[in-house]
Amino acid sequence: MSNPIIRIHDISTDTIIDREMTDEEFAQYEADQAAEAACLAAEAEAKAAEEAAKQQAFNDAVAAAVAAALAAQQTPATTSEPVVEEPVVTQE
Amino acid sequence: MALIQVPPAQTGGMTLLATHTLSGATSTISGISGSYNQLYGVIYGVTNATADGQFSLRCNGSTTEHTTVSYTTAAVQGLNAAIYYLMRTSTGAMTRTDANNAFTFTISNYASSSNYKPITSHGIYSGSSYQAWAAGGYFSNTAITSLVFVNSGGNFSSGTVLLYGVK
Repeated sequence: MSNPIIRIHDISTDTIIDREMTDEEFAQYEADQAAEAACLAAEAEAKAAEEAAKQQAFNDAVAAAVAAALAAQQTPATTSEPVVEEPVVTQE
Repeated sequence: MALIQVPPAQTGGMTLLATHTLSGATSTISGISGSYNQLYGVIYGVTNATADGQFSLRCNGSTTEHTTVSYTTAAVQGLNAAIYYLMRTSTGAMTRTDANNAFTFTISNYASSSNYKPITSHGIYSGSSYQAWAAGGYFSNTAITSLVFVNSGGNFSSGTVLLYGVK
């Protein structure tokens, strides 16, 4: 398999050369690509962790708010019997 | 009445150094003269053949002496080391086969052999949908004599770089 083609434009002589990478250049090119991919993967991982942390913080806030609302709705403990209201019937 | 002597206006301006057609796995402009104060580049119509990836600029071909903070409206942002990212292609952002894009970059102090070189770039792609911005530099005291353009997604299919020297 041939190596990738590169272009070099020497503007001091206005010459353009399209040629195949040497094996040494190709090895460096692949190493650079791998390093860049690793950098991007690390960046993506950090971003995903940040998003997960934001989501967890949101979930915690929602859970706390729900718990507070439920606590506010709870009837205080009492010994009396619950009062049953009779329906009001009206006649015309 | 005192006379104020106004110094004459300085000469300057921009010189087109190269019209470079992007091609291949890497595409290099070499032999850059050091007789200007700044390099200014305009890039447009960039597509690549194989896959989405990162479109980057490497001063003197270096992969270890750059740093970039980059941002696009496609929610891709971050601090990148090693190479200078001009833009990225990914699904939902810049489509690698869409030539509707244009970017500019500036490299100041590029010919210095004793100081670092700040770089900024910005652009637009996929019609009017997205913007990209990046800033950083080349942390080397070596004068820049070549610029290497690379797309990690594969060979360039098209694209033009206009490189100017600014006095």
